[in-house]
Amino acid sequence: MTVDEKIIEGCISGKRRAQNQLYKQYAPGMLGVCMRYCINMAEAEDILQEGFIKVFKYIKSFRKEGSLEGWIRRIMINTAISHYKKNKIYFNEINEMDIELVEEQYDNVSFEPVDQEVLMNLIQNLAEGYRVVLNLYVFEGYSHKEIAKILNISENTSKSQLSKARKLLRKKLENLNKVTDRSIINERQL
Amino acid sequence: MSKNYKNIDDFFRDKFKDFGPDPPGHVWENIKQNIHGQKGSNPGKPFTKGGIAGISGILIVAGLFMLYQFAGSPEDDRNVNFNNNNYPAFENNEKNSVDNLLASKTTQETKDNTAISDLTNEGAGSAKNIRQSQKVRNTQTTVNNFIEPELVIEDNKNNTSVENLQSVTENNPDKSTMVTNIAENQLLITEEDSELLAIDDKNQNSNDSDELGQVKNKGPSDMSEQEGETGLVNPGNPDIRSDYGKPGDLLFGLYFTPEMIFYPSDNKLINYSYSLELNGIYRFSSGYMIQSGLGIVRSTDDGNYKVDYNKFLGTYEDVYDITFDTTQNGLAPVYHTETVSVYDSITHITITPTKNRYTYLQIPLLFGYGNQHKRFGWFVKGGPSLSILIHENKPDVNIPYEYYKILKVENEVPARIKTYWQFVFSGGVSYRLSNHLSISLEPMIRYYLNSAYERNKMETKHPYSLGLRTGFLLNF
Repeated sequence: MTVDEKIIEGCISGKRRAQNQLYKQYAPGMLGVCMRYCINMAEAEDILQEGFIKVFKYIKSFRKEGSLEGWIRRIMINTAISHYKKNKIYFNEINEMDIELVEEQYDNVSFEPVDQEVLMNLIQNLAEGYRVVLNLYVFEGYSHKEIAKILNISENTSKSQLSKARKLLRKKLENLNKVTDRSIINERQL
Repeated sequence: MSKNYKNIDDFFRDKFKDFGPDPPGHVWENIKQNIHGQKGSNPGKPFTKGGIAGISGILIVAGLFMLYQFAGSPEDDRNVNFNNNNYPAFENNEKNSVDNLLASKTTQETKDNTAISDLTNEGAGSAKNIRQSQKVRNTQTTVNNFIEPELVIEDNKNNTSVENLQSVTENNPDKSTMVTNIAENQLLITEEDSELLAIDDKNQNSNDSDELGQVKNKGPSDMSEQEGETGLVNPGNPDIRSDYGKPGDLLFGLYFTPEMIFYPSDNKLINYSYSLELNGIYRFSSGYMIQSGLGIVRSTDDGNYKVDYNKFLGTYEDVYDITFDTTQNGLAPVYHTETVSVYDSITHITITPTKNRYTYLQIPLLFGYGNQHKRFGWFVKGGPSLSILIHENKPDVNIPYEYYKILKVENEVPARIKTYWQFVFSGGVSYRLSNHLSISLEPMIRYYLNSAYERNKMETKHPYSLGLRTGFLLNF
């Protein structure tokens, strides 16, 4: 029996020690996840709290087919998404041509070292729609089709939100003088 | 030093790969408070204190009653004998000790034996003789040897002690057995009487003197048969009923039942309920029974109130209109204002544990079959049961509204429906404490024909419960 399995068994039995152990092991990482979906720390804490309550409540249903961390992460993401669904995120519909133009802009880039806090601040300051789609696509690895299904939007909308988020982030990074577009550099050298 | 990435996505992924700040302590405190507040969902706890207290109470009362029964039996025997006019020897006995009481009883029995064996009892007065006389009856009931009482009565006539009697019987194994029974008999009168009282009502009402008259003319084997039929119990006293009752009884049952309700398809739920029932049971002579009555069921739901809110930041005076008054100095503006509360734009979430309580009226209609053997009985029952919601108590969530702007209050516990049906199946045992009182222990399973919760709110459509119905049965 692995450490995780022992913790799971303990949590199912309602043992406080196991619950505390699980929380200590996974809470920091999950707070990081929550922070990316939220606009500030207070909101992230709320999501984390609600998510962990669900974890302890439904841990009996964990089938051990994947990792425990992955299962907890999905709960946190679902909690965050349901939170934003209630707030009715506004997504701008966009046509396909616009998306392609925006998506191809940011390949082959180099970045100066940036603090995590600064980057987190950039993400948190994105509009809700941008932020959620960016998180789902970039960090969780969902496809646009899956994101469209999760958020009940069209694929194009998902793509547009991501594209705009990227554009905005890049712009902000440029303002911080932390990014250089290699293609631009190459053009200049030529 | 810049670092190359394929695209901006990789850059962000890399930057947040190991990102994990420590959460503040209050988050864990809130989580702990929430999860440990839901005691009902802890699967390791079979019954709460109420259930244990209820069962313990019934067992204690039953134990005390049994203690009283056995401790009080000699008194009961005395009362019985006082009323029995067929025992004149008792009236001649002026001593008031237990021995005398035994003597009074056994003297008459000795007289009966005397009639059987054509011997005369000369020493009905002394306790020693009485004990020896008691041996006669015991011998007849246990050894079932017609000759041995003759020997004992002869000892009785000679006023020999128990020890002497034992020495006399050493050469005769059958008699030795008899003496052992005699020695024990002094302490076992009550128990023996209880056993002997277990006869059919038909035999109880038979006339003792007639029986004896018939017995006089019979041989030893016939006598044994006759004793077996009559049981030598309370002849001539029709007031004394059998200890084990009679078929065709109407009983009333007072039951306490703790139950665990399972919802297999819903991960969360294991509910608990407690019920107090008053049932009428009619037992047919064939062993079949029908049972119905009323019960009160208390049930609780552990859930959460989820509140979305914005925090209160302060107020400002909003100018919603400006008018101008004409004064001597010209126009003077008049500002009309109202106080506006300001809340932050962040949606906070708080989860508060709650405990909803429900009271149901329960009406079972059970059919069953059972049997009684001496004091013990067994039975199986089954049938429908209707539950009607008669009262519910849902405590409100306590929120300081003056400091928060409540966006949404959501009770995560699904609502209960007003009526639902179950099918109950149970099997159990009963133990008769007296003519009128029994205790009953009855494990039961209850299959819900429809869920107690609103449709489409629960995945489990047919929950089931396991319970232990304990109670008293009274018959009159």
